[in-house]
Amino acid sequence: MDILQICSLKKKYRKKISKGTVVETVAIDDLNFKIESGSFISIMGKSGCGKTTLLKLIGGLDTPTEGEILYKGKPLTKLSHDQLAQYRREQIGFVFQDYNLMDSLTIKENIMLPMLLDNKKLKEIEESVMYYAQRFGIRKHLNKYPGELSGGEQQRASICRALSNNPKLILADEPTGNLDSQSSKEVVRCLKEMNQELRKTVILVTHDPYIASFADEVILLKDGMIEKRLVNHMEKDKFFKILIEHLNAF
Amino acid sequence: MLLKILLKNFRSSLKDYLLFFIHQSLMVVIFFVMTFFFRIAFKVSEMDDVSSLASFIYTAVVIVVIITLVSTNMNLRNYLMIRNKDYDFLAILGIRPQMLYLLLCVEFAMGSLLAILVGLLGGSFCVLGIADLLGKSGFQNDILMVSIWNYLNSSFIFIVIVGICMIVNCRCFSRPGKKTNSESAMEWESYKAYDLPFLLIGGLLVIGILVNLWFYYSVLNSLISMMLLVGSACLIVFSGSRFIFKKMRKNKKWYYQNLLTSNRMMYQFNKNKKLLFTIFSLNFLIFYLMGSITASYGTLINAEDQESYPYDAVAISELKMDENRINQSGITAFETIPILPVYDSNDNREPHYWGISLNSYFKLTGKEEALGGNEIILISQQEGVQNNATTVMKRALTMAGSSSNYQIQKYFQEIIFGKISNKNLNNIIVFSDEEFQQQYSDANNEMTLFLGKISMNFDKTAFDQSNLLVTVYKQDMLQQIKNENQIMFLIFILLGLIMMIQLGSSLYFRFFTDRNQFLADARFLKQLGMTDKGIKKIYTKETAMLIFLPIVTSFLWSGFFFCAEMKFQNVAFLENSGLFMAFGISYFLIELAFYKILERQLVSHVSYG
Ligand SMILES: Nc1ncnc2c1ncn2[C@@H]1O[C@H](COP(=O)(O)OP(=O)(O)OP(=O)(O)O)[C@@H](O)[C@H]1O
Ligand SMILES: [Mg+2]
Repeated sequence: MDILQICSLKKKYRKKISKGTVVETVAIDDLNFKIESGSFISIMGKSGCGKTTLLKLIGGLDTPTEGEILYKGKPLTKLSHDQLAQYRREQIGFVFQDYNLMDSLTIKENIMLPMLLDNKKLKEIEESVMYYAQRFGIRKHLNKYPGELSGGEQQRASICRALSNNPKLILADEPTGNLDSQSSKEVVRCLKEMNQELRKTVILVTHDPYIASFADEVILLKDGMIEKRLVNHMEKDKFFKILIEHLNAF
Repeated sequence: MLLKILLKNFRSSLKDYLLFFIHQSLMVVIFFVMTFFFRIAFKVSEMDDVSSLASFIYTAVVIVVIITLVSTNMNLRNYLMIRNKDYDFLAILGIRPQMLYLLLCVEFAMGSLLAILVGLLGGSFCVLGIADLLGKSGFQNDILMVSIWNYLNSSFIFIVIVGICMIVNCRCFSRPGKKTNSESAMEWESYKAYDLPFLLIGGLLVIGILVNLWFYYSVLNSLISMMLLVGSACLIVFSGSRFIFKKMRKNKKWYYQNLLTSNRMMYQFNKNKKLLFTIFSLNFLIFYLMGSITASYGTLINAEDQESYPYDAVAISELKMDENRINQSGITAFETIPILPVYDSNDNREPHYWGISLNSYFKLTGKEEALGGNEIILISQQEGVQNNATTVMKRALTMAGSSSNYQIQKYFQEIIFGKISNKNLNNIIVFSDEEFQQQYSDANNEMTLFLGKISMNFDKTAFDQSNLLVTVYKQDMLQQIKNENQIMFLIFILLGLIMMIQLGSSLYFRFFTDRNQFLADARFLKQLGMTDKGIKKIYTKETAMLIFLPIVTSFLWSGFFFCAEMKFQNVAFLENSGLFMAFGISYFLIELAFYKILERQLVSHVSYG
């Protein structure tokens, strides 16, 4: 079953420079693709090709200029503000490059936040926090503040947070951008586990072909359009090599 | 080369600069007006050395200087912080931090100099208006002149203040690393042990101050108490609210349900405690001074119809203080008149009549003939007998804040004699000094009174014990007092204004510098699936807290302290508190408007983030 359907999606940014002159940037230009439920998709492309914009559109943080995104067959543009908020709260987990943890909350509180917003029971929430914290090895840091953790630990905490609400779809925008290769591996391994064991759909934006090679499928974007879709049938190392070839040919 | 960079930067950051510039100019305007008042005070105290106005203005000037210093310092700091970012590229290119600081300081100094010019110009206009106002209400013109002295002094002091600020900030600038974000979220935990003790110490301090005032009331004591009180209030408010916050945190269910709101509040509170402290104490000072003006002179402000009043005597105040105290407090401008209890021979535990001596009567009325020589006059309110002396007393009491006959009685009874008699006030007697002497020395003597024969009984010990005094303003003093009042009110408006500017700009810059963090947090919460409305609510609450917590607490606190102090002095504050309330409320309303503007500037951006 397709969890996401993207139909002739377009996004233009307009900016008034002075009176009369409007500068238009086309961030996404006529995208069409489907994402199956439970798949691990990686999106790659040069800087400025519209990856973040695409994730924002999928997450309902921005509205497309044209076209439509169907989530489980339902169009996002038909949803009201509050419904969109609810969609984000219940269906989507975001992981970003700069962790996006709130400095004034402890790690535990940060992870709890989406569930608290969802008015879940306290006991249920604490159990969920403990489960994910255990799993991602940040249990002993739960009562610390984000500033006291390393980048990798913070990123894992933010993955915990993205998962804690049991979303169907995880959107990760360069989650390994600030990490060393060891921590990056850990983070992507976590995502992979989530994908395989809990059947979550993961969309991962990255510049790192090694990270991308964990995916079932890699979508290469160029100037807001799909350049190529590479399906991962083979071993990881082989796929990695093929990826690098394609990227060099770009 | 340096000059070129300087000028270019100056031009490019004009918009940032404008805010600081306006702030600085307003400070200069207020400063200049203060020197104008200072000069008036100087002149007035030269002419007559009993003016309480002078000391008041001196205090106000000191306050203004302090506020200016604080706010200029803050202004400079914010300026450095914002401009520092622009200069980062210079630092990367390898310019020494001292050089950078010098560059920024020269910029700031240039702006300040320009602000002085603009401020002096604006100030001159303000002073012209004020002088016109004061001239109409009876001030002589030669007092109201503005001299070169004003210009020189205000600009000199302002330059000194700017200089001090620059030197002070030099140290923290040369230190590497940003000083602004030193207050991290973690700091909350480290205070754990101290909140309750601090709260208790604060409470004890307040009780101590009140007890101290109750037994040893004096103006000086009151002033010192006030200072202590600001300190203890801060202890109570700050450790108290933290204590409450922490208690709330212990209650897990509640805390988690309101996680964001309570956490953000705690965070902001902790982060801005210095700012909150400053705002709180300055506001307290303003409200307190406002209260004292209202209480001491509120009675007089109502006395608008004094022209229609036939006598010189005007009002009553400073009750139940003995002469020594009045002299100590420096209120020599008033005439104090002893009021004597007269006892009925049948019932000599309670005074039945109240008398004033002929001498006093003469002082009150200036009319000797009304007495018909040395005869004794009985003033009876119950019997409805009206004569001059009744009118005088009534008048005096009317001025003191009551108007109806019943109120006069009540007022007289409660305020003047309340401590001695709980009977209805029956009669007031005015008698000659000789007669009094005679009666006084010769107890149990029967007197023939105006209305007939009433047996009377003078109790010598009662006379000696009761040191009741009515303080009477003389007619010529009234004008002066009213004038002084007017100046004090203008000064109050100025002080209020300066506070408002200080408060407004400090909060504005606080939010301005926090804005990026603020918007980033909002974006993040949006990703988590919070609605725009929910996010706005949180930020509205925390912004409101920063603005209103210090104002409301300082208002309540100063009000409370003030009521207590007035109680000790036996002045009915609540009846005259209208002005105080009006001041407080209008102050509050202006803050509310300001808050709305800030909210619009900040919170509305959330939805675009
Ligand atoms: N808010 C905005 N207003 C105007 N233009 C924007 C905005 N956000 C993005 N753009 C433009 O849209 C295009 C795509 O931006 P996007 O952030 O999606 O790129 P990206 O693929 O995520 O790049 P990177 O790999 O560097 O993160 C860019 O050309 C960018 O300049
Ligand atoms: Mg991006």
